[in-house]
Amino acid sequence: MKKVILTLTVLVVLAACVVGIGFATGYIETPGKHKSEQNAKTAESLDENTPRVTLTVDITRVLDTEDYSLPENDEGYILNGEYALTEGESVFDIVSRVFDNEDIDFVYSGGDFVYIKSIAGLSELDLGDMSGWLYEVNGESPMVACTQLIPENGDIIHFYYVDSFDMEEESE
Amino acid sequence: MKLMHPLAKLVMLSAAVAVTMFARSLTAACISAFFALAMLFLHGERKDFFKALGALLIFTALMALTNPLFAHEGRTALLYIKNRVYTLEAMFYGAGTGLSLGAVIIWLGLLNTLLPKREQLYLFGRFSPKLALIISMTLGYIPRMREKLTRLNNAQKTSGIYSSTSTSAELQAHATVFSALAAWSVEASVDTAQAMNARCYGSHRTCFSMRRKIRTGDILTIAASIALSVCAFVLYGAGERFRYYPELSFGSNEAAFAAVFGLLSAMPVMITVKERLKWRLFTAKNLASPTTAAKSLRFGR
Repeated sequence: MKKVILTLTVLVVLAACVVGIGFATGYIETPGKHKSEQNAKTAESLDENTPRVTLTVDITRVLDTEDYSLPENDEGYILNGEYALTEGESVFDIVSRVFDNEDIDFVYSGGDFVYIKSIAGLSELDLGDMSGWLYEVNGESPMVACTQLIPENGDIIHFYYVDSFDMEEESE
Repeated sequence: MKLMHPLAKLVMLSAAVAVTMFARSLTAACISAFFALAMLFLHGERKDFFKALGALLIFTALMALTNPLFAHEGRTALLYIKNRVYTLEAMFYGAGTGLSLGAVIIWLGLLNTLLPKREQLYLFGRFSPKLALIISMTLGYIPRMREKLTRLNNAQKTSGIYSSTSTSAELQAHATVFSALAAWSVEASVDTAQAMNARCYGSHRTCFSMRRKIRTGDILTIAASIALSVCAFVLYGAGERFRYYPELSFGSNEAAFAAVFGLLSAMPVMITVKERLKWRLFTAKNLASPTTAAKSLRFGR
């Protein structure tokens, strides 16, 4: 019993240390701080020299779907604009702060390799067994998760919803 | 519980396990874990109960803390870790999963203690004598083998096989003992098979003696467990279900479901408590005990 208590205490102290270091290095943030920082980055004014990316979220491929209420969109685009890019940000980092800033709900899962399940209420598997969100950078489908890819200045990041990713491969 | 027919015990406990496993609801997990622990408190040793309680709490806490690292659904953000949201709902989901998993493990352990091997054989042996043979052989095999291993080891120790200090020689000695053990077990199984063949095992239906007959109480227990579990599943499935994401929301029949499932999982506890009370308040027992008999004798004089 003494041993168990000792092990538990050591574990709790270790966990507390990890969390403390996380807070100190900015690895872990409180929601308020996170939000204000992200919004500041997004609201940065774009002058000619600011590094930027174009981010589009597009549902044109499923726009003619009947019997399903699609999220609010502008002729098939939920989002289409240029946003400031901070050095070292991954595609996921940009997307998450822009979506937060634009008040677009999105759901994702995974630790290091994030998979985006749903954007603006349109989620995977909503329009069939093979439907879901895919992404392209400069017209090419990257073979890595969106957390692993670091975009460069001027890149075009394109998220799109397909009702069957199988058909997608055949047509290309 | 000792007076009940094994089939009634099996049905009652597996109904509780089934609902715990298939109803993904935080209330169901809490109810099931609570009554499983209560049952363990009544039937297990004090030490086992505290061990199980501690393990359940630690496991649940661990699941609750780690699930939000991988599942980022839910509205209530608590923290941001490396730009990923850490949500309260994901914590609840982890806690619910941990509780129901722990509860199922405790229920299955209880099933094992409340249904001794003999009763398990009685229940399943009639369907297939081969299965009964396999069960009884595997159940006896490991303890018998361990006992033989200690005996072999002790015998070899006295003959000085473990005297060498080098690791390789020690390993070799262990290998020698193990090979002897394997040879013994193969020989023993051949012996058993031949002996059972000679006794015509498997050539006719196997009989198992069981003093208990299914009584009205057992039938009532079985009927009540089946009816309650079906009722619980219907209440769980109909209308809105319990949802963790995006916000914790109880199902539309959650209260009724909780009541029915509570009754179902409380049934074994109630039966046990009733039996214990009956035993405590059983006056003939007091009269029969030697001290009271002596006392009454003394007063009588």
